[in-house]
Amino acid sequence: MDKEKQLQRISADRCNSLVQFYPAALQEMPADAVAIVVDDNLIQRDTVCAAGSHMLYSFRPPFQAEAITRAQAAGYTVIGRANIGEFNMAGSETSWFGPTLHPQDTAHLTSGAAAAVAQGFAEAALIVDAGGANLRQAALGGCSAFRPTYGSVSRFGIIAFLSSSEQIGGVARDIDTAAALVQAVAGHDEKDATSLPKPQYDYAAAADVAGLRIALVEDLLAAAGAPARAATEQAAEALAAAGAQISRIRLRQAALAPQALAVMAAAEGCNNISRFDGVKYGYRTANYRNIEELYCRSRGEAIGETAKCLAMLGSLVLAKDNYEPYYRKALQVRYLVKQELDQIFTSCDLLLAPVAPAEAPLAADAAASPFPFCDPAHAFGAAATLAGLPVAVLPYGTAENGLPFGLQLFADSGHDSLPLRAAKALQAAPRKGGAC
Amino acid sequence: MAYEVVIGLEVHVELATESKIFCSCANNSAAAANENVCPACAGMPGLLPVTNRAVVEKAIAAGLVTNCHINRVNTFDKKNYYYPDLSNSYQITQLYAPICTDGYVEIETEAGSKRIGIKQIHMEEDAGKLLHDDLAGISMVDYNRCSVPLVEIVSKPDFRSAAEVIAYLEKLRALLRYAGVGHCRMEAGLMRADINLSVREKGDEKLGVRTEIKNMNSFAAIQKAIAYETERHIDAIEWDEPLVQETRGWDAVKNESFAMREKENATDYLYFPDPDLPPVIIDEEWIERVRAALPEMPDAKQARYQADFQIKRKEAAQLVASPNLAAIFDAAVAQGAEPREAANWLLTEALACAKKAGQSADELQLDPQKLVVLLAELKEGRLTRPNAKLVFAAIFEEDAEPLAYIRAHGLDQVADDSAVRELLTQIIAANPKSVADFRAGKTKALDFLFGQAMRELKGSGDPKLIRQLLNELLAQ
Ligand SMILES: [Zn+2]
Repeated sequence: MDKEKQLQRISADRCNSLVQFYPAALQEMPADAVAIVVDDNLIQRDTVCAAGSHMLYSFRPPFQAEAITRAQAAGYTVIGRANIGEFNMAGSETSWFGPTLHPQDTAHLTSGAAAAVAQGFAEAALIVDAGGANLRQAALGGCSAFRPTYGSVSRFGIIAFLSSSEQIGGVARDIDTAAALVQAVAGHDEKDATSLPKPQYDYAAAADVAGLRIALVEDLLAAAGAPARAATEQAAEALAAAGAQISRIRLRQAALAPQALAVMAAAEGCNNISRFDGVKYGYRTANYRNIEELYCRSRGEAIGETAKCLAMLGSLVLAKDNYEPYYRKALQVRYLVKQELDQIFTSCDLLLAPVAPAEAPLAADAAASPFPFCDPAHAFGAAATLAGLPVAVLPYGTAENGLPFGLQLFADSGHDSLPLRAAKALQAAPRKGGAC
Repeated sequence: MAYEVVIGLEVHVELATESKIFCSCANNSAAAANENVCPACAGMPGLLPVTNRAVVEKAIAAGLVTNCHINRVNTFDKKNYYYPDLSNSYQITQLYAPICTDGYVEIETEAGSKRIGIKQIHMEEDAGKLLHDDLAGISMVDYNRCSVPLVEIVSKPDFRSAAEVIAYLEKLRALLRYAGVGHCRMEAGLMRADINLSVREKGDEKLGVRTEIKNMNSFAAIQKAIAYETERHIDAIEWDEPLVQETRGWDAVKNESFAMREKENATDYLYFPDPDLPPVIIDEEWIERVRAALPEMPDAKQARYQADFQIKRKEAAQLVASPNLAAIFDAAVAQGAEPREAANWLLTEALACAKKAGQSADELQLDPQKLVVLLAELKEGRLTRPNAKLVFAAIFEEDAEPLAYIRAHGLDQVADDSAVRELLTQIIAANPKSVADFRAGKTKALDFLFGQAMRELKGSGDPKLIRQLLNELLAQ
């Protein structure tokens, strides 16, 4: 690799992929090291970690995310930080650093990680997936990605948004590279009490689907537009051709997953960003006379519209009289979703669905609602996220404008190799339409 | 009309653990400001709480000594509010599944003994402290106390007088100190009480309007606050004035309670289960391990002192009131000290020395083995009582070795009677008038000569020997 050329390309990025770029890291990288970028909500020692927010524009933590430390120990070099939506609560259009544009068509949006990897700035990206949104952006941005079972990778060092279900994953141009990065960072960590004691992390599965029972999720197919649906059906055919048994299922309880996830995201998001109060670090208003004004103005001036709306919604669902009908109800739904999926996984190995109703959104459409849950795509990742399941995504099929559609494959907790096997098989299979 | 006051208490006790509840910082809020602070307890993002098992153990111990049921599944909840001393803008506590429930504490007042019910005990983290510099007009925050472990012990509304409240707090403090749960020093804020109080007509079933006085940290203030608040309630009832259910503070200068700002009464804490903390499961084996490690509790100890050693009730109670004093006493007795003599020395000399040094019974340090040696010297008649006090003071103040000190300062009982004989002969020769008086039958004259001799011997003479020799010499 010509490092000088690479450096020039990254510096000339027109997509706003990275919020920080470390040319020195790239130049001094050993020959056998692998360049990666990390999402801006992953904490890195002595570096500004803003999580896409003005609130943290000056926050330089004295410690580091466990996943970054493990990646570095495994020979990965961090060459930059990828743009995310503010606090990872929504798409990159909510980032204080501005939106990340789709490298294939800059009228559309994607995530910083997807844009950086798709353009070859780095081999892979370490991402934090919240609600399936980051996986979706990776696939629609033309990349493959893998999120292991909840608890496989330590959440120590994530600037948290959706603590109960967010999980670190890997993005790369092929699923093997993404899985290898996840393999390097997975494992028990005593600094995270929800870390699995013995996570299963053999992700080097073969591209073999012979005999696998794969079910298409009818509800999500029906929610997708015709072209995206057709791409998923094609994938099912390709998997059948490779030896998988294909069936179709309908979700009952799991159909409520998007609403439950929205309630939990609002509550946890509200709580997780409440520590950003202008007192200790980060942004503080220049104009205050007392502590109330310091709080209100610092937060009012430095937190964006979407995060504010989410925090308001969170306060609402946690209020004394709303806790039972909203938050507790959401916990009950999560329990039922898990139960239903457990049942489903007794008769099939994998679920297959589109990641979104269509291709990557137009920048012009993205700002329509400040609530990320109003985006129809939110529903697609909810069930697997609520249940903490392992998910592999990949681009599959192409829209008329040339942008990719995305597929997701998910299995029961702990069966992380299954979605990887299917994703690898699809990657290897010959395709109709354009390859991505 | 006869009124009855109904009181319930919420007592916060800081746990005596090495480290904080959810991070590994030292639990020492007395250190220099912000010395024991890490990114987690300073409220940085990215940190995850990990429950300190020692905290769970202390909470189990607190439950066991207050006869509570220990719950198997323990979850933690987040309580949200904004205040600069709360670094994370939320406090981790137990709302939905407290660790201990349904216990009681036996108390004794002049009216007799009574059982006070414990509704629940839950674990939580403390907040930091604000320091205000009024001259510079700035406020500073010290996070040392952030995430220091606490238990909150919630009683049932079983108290009917301030005396019962004080008896309960004293008993609770003794139980928790023996069990090693906390130091419970109220003046240092290690034990704080919120008082829930209402007044009703005697015989009424229904409770009156309840007010809560927060953050009381001295027995004297608690007594005054209960008296004041009871009076205020009765006054309002008698004059048919409205009483509001509210949170009040206590002004220790004006000796009156005052309504807190409306805001603090209207806060919605947006409680929800902490997704970062999986439940802590407590099995029977763990509970039994904690139970087995508990020392003898104060009631049993006092009963034993009274029954086995014939120590009076008041003295026995005084000894067990301080786990430290009781431990010194137990060790001294185990090493052969006569129990009543040891108790006597500890309750008089030791406490007097401690008081002089500005220490409490819990702080005083005394090597029990040295007390044993001292008492043996005294018993064997090798040391006089006044000299023994000198030696005791030296042991207390400079940790002196009793035997070496006695020798070095010539405090041995003067047993060599030739020296005493010589001295007495001189005294007799120098006081012919007293000798004449004595021989004329005035026995008082002997006391004068005896006094002279004791003065010359600077207290180290054996009084029995001196009287005997004096009689002998005067008879010649
Ligand atoms: Zn700490």
